[in-house]
Amino acid sequence: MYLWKCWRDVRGFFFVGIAYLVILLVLAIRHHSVDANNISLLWVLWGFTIVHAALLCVLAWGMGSLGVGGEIGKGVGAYLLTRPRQRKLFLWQEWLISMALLSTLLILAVCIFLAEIRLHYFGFGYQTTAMPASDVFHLKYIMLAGICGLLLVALVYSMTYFFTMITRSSSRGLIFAIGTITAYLFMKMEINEYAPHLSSHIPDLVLVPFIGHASATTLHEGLFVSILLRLTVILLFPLAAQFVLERAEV
Amino acid sequence: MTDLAIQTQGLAKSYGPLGAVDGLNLHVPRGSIYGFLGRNGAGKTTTIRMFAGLARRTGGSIQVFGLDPQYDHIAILERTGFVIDKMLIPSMTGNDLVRFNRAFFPKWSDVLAKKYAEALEIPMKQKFSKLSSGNKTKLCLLLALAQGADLLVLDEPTAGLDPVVTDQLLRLIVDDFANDGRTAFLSSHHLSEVERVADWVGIIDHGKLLLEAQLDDIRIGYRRIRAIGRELPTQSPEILKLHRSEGMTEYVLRANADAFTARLRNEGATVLDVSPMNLSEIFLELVGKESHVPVEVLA
Repeated sequence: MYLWKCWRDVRGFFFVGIAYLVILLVLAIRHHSVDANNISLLWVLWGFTIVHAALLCVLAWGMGSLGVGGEIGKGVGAYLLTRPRQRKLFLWQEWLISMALLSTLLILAVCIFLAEIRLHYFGFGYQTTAMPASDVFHLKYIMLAGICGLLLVALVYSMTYFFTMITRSSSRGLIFAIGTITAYLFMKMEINEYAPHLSSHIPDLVLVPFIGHASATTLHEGLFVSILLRLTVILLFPLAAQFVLERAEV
Repeated sequence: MTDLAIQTQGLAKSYGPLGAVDGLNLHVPRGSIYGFLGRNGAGKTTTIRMFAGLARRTGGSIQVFGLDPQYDHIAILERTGFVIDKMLIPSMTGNDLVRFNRAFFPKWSDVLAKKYAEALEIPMKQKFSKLSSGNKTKLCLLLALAQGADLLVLDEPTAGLDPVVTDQLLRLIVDDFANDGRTAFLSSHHLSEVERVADWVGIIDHGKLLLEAQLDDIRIGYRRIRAIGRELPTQSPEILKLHRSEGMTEYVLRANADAFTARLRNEGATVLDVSPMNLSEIFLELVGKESHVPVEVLA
């Protein structure tokens, strides 16, 4: 039943995301926006996924600020935490349902992109001679692009969730999360400008899975280690939030 | 199995240098209605939060049904209805909250929920945030009662309510809950309400328990004696408090008033009067107010 409450809390964001995808779908069918004659479609797929992931980050910020920390801030903590459930279950149910909804939205966006490609290059009974890279339909690459987008959304969501927990306030959690991301981007920009030799040691906010251009595109070296490291960082946020919640006095 | 629903031994809670609860020894018998009295800031809510596992004690021990809230809070919460902040999920209606709550409690009763909603005239289709203060409290109580709890812990249940709603709630607690042999623990500073429903009382001030007794024992045993005389006794186990002014000595006794009066007379004192005391008077004596201001005003 707590899942039902979580769904009630975040469904507004989900429906906004669905509405956005419907608009995207209509645009994709009406206007063939992908013109990939000169670059690898893999890059287009990745770019498309990251742009949509970035848009989903807006929803992730909103969803992350609705966690149990926000409920405590609103004075609902005493009620919620006197339900006979372990505190960590409240937290992980919220985290999982929001992540599932955000993932669904991102997967749907990628599906729309792939549908657009298919319509553009293979649709209507003929096959274009300008098909630059059919490997865009390779499941591995689709998944990698999706994972990169999802890692960004999950990072933003988890960070916001964590800050909402430690500040016990939706608005403060949101401000801290946006502030942290902005500060990181600013720091990265400054390092690129003034200490470029250090730049390669500071990971980008967005994971880039491929290197090279056009037909020479290959997977980035150490990609899977990077994915694992980022997953670890992302999971540290709810784990830290759990640590805080289990010791929180309400 | 212990005969106590709640027991604390030397319970302490401090926030830095500030001691909120200081060596509290409570004994709440099963099947009783226990009134937990104290002024604002006396430590009542902190104590209740420790029962619910919402706050961690810094000393002593707590047992609720023989279980420690710090380690067995799930088992305690399954059997206990807590109404602490009277704040539920604002976006949910009463019906949503019933639906939400139902899944947490195996002994939940929809029949009871419906009965209380009708009896208390709660607009169940209205969002919690839109309800009046009285209806919010009533809804909190409904949820606690319908969960089939063996113990009800209510923090200031009647605060801010009008007399009609207060009466409704108190009757509900006594008639529908406690009459089934279940235990109700309610904190309050409205002494007349507690005096009306409780059979046990505990008075707390500055985090310390000043008195714990059955209300009947208080009514029977507690007496105020005023006497005139020289070198009157100042030490005796039954003396709760003693005031001296202009040759007159006023005793507040917790028991054995007849024997103590006889002893005073034997020692040459003139006993002016022996009068029974109500809960308000005892409360004022214990929390150290010299003038007998009506307690409801203090609240």
